[in-house]
Amino acid sequence: MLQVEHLTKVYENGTVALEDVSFTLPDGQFMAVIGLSGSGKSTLLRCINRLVEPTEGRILWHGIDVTAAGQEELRRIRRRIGMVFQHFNLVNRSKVSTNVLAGRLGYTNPALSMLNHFEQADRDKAMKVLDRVELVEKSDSLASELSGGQQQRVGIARALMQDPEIMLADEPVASLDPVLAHSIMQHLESINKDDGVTVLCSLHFLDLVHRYSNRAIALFDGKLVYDGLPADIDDERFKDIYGHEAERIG
Amino acid sequence: MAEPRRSRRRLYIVLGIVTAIVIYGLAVERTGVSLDEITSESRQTQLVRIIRALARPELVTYDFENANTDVEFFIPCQEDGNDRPTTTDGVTVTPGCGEPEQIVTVQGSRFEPFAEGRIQFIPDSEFEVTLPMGLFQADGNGHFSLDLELPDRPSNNPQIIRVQVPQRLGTWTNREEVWTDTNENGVIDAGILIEGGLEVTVEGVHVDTPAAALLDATAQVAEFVTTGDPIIAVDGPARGLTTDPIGESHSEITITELTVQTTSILIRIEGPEGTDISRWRVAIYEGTTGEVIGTSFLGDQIELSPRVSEQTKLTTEKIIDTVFLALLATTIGLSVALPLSFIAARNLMKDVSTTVIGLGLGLLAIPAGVALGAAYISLQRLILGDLINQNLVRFILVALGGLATFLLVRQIFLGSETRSTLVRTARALASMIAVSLALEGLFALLTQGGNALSEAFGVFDFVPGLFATIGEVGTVLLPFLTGLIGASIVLGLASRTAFWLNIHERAGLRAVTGFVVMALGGAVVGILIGAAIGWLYQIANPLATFVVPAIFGTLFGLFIAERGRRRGEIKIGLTVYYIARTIFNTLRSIEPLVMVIVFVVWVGFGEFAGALALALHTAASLAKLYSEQVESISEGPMEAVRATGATRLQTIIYAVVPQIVPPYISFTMYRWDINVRMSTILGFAGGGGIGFLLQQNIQLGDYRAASVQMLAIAIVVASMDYTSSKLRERFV
Repeated sequence: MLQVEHLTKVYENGTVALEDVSFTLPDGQFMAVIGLSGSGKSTLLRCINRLVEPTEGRILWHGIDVTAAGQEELRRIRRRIGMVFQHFNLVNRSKVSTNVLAGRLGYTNPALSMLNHFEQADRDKAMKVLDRVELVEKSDSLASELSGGQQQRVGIARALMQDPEIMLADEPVASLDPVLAHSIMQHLESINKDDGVTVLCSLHFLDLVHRYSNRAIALFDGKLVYDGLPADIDDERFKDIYGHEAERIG
Repeated sequence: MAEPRRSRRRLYIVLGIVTAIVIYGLAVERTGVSLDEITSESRQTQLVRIIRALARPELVTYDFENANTDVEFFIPCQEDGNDRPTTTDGVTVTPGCGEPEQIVTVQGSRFEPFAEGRIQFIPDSEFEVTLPMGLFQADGNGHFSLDLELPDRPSNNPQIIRVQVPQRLGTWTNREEVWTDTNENGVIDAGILIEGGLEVTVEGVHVDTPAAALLDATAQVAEFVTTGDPIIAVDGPARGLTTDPIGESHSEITITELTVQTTSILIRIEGPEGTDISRWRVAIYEGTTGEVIGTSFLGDQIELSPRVSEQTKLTTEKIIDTVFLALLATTIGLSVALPLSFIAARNLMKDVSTTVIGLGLGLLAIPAGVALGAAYISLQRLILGDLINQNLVRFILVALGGLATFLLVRQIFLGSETRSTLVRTARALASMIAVSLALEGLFALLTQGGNALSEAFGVFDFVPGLFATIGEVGTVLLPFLTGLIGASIVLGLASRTAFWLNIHERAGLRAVTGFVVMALGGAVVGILIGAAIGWLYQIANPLATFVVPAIFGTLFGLFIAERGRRRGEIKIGLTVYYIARTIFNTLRSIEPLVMVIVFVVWVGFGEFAGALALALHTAASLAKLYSEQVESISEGPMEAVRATGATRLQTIIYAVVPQIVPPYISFTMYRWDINVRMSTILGFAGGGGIGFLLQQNIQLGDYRAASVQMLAIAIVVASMDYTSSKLRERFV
C-alpha cells in the first residue's frame, strides 16, 4: 500500500508543482493520474521514488517512510519501483539487452557491474522479459535503431527486470500513435492483472483512462481535484479538471 | 511617444559609430601599422630574398665544381696603345686593357639562363691570389653586363680576369662521386694526406681506451699506438706487437690523435703531404685487453652528389621527436582529464550534497587519510630497507602481495554488500598494504629488469627502457597512491560515522556535533592553507601561518555549519564543480609556450619539458571539453537508470558513458591534432622538438634550412589533420 500524505513540491525557482496532495493507493490497483500539462502529474510520480525531492509531506510505502530514507535504503526502495517514461529514456547508444539489464543494477554488486558483468540468471531473465514484450530478436540492436513503440516496450522490459511491486508510468503513450498506444497499455494491463503489480499511470486521453484504469485521480495546478472512479467523470468534473474552456472530445 | 525613442536610437547609433572609429584608430596606432615600412626599398629586397629562400628548402645538397672563363688583361696598357676589347669564350672585357682603378665593362653570353657567378682578378703574383671584383646573375638568355673597377695591380705581364660559375655536380638520375675537401684546397681529403693531417672517423665502435694499428697497402703494420698503458696485441694484424705511446712513433706516416666519441673513434694521421693512403687500413684494438675490434679502410669516405642534406636528416629526426612529444602529452593529458571531467560537469555534481556532520568529518578525514597512506609507505620502506634490492625479496613481494590483492579484491567484488564498518575498514586497510607491497616489488623489478635488459635489446633498448621508466615513475608515485587509498578509506569510515550520527543523535545534539566537527574541519583546512602560503612566501611567523588561518578556518567552518543547519544539506558537489572549473580555466589560459618555461627550469631543456607543459594544458582543456559534453547529454537515461536503484557510479557507467564515448574520441583526436601543431613551436621556448631547429635557423638567417622545417611541419600537420578528420568521421 502506498500512502501519500500532504505532499507539496516547490521548485527552486518558486514554482509550486504540488500542493498538499494526499491519497492512498492499495496494492493491485491500476490508478490513472490525469490533468493538464504542467498540472504536476510528472512531479507526483517522480516524488514517489524521489527522483524529485518532495518539499513537504510524507510518502509511506508498506509502512516505510520513503521521504526519510537514506541513500542506501532509498536504493533498496527504488529497485522495487519500476518506472516507464514518456520519452522512453533508453540509452540510445547501448544495445537493447544492455538497456534491459540496466534494470537489474539495483540488485547487482556495484563493483562487478562496473565491468559490465551480470550474473547468468540476470541475463536469462533479460531474455525472458524481452520475450514477453516480443523483442527477443532485437536484443543485439542498438536502442536507437528501434521504432517508438519498440523503444517503449524495451522501457517496460527494463522496469520488469526490477521485479517491481509498483509500476510508475509517466505518460507512457503520449509520444506514440493511437494504435501503438493500446499495445503499450495492454502490456501495462497484463503486468497489473497477471503479475499483480500496482500501476500508477499518468494519461492524457480520457478514453484510455476509462478503458484501462479502475481508479483515477486528477490534478489541477498541483492540487488534487478528483479522486474516484473513471466512469464518474461527468462534464462538470471534466471542466474542473481540464479548465472551463476545454471541450470534451470522444 | 515614438519620436523621443527614435531620436534616442539615432543618438546611440551615432555614438556607436564614433566609439568604433576611436577604437579602431587606437588599434591601428598601437599596432604600428606603417605603409612606409611596407614600401621601403631595402625591406622589399630583403623580403624577396627571404621568400625566395623559403621557396627553396634545402632538402638536398649538391657539390659544386667551378667553371672558369679566363680573359687575359693588361694593367696598364702596353706601348702599342691597343685597347680593343678582348674576348675569350663568350666573355668580353671593354676596353681590352686599362689603368689601375679604371672602370671596365665585363660582358658575358652563352651562360646558363639565370646562372649566378663571380668575377675575380688574378694578379701576376708568385702566390695564388684572387681578388674579388663583383657578383653577377645572367638574364634569361644567359647574358650579363657589369661595370667593374680594376684593382691597383700594375704589371708588365698579362694578368687574368676570371668569370667563375659554380656548377652543381650530379643529378638524381646520375649521381656523381665526390671527394670531401674540407679545407677547400682542391685536394681530395679522404685517402690523400694533406697538411695538418687526415681525419678519419671509424663509426660504430665504442671503447674507453682505444689502441690502433696502422696497416699499409700490403697489410704490414706501420705502427701500433695507444692512448693508455702499453699493451700487447693478442690477436688481429698486430698480434704480438707492443704499443707505443701515441705521438712518439718514428714512422714516416703516423697517428697523432686517437679520440673516443660516443659511437665512433676519430683518428688523425699525419705524414708527407700528397701521399696516397686510400688503400691503407687502421685496426682498432681494445686498449686494455689487446683484442682487436675491427678494421677500416682510410680511403672510403666517398660521398655522392647530390645527396640528402644534413638539414633534412636532422629535420626528419626532430619531427619524429615532435610527433612523439605530442603523443605523450595527449596520452598523459587524456588520462588526467578523463576522471576529472566528471567532477567538472554541472549536471552530475549539482545533486551531490552532504550533511554538516558529513562535510566536517570529510574535511578531517581526507588529510588524515593522506597522512595515513604516506606514513604507511614510509614505514614500509623503512622496514624493507635494503631488502628491496634483492630480487628474491622483490619476487616474493610481487607474488604474495599480488595474491593477497587478488583475494581481497575478489572479496570486495563478490562478497555480500552488507558488512560491519569494522570488517570493511579492515579489509580496505589490508588491501592497501597488499597493493603497496606488490607494487613496491613490481616497480623495483621493472626498473632493474628494464635497465639490465637494455644491453641485450641493442637498438631496441627503448622497449626495456620504457619498463624501467614505468618502474621509476611508479616508485616515485607510490606514496601518492597510498595517500589516495588512505584518504578513501578514512573518508569511507567518516561517511558511515556521519550517517550513523545523523540517524541516531537527537536534533539538538546533532547540531552541536555538526558545529564541533565543522569547526575542527575548518581549522584543519585553514592550517593547511596557511602552511602552503607560509611555504610559498617564506613566512616563518607561526602566528601568521598557523594561528590566524586556524581561527579563520574555524570561523568559516562554523559559518558553513550554521548555513547548512538551516538548509538541511550542503551542496558540496557545486563547490567542487566551481573549484575544478576555475582551476581548468586558469590552466587553460596559460599558453603551453609559457608553461614550458617553468618546466624547462624543472626538468631541463628538451622534449620532456615540452611534453609536460603540453600535457598540463591538454589535461585542462580536455577536462573542460569533456565535461561540457557530459553536461550536454540527455538527462532521460540518467533519470531512468537512477530510478532502477543504481548507485551514482553505476548511473554514470550505464547512462552517461555510452552517451559520451563518441564525442570523447572526437575531442581526443582533435586535441592530438592541436598538440602536434603546438609541439612544433614549443622549441621556441626550450621545449624541444622541431621548433628548436626552426628557431635556430631563423636566428642564423638560414632561411633555406628553416624552410625545410616549415615544410616538415606543414606535411605533418596536414596529414594529421586529414587522418584525424577521417577517423572522427568514423566515430561520430
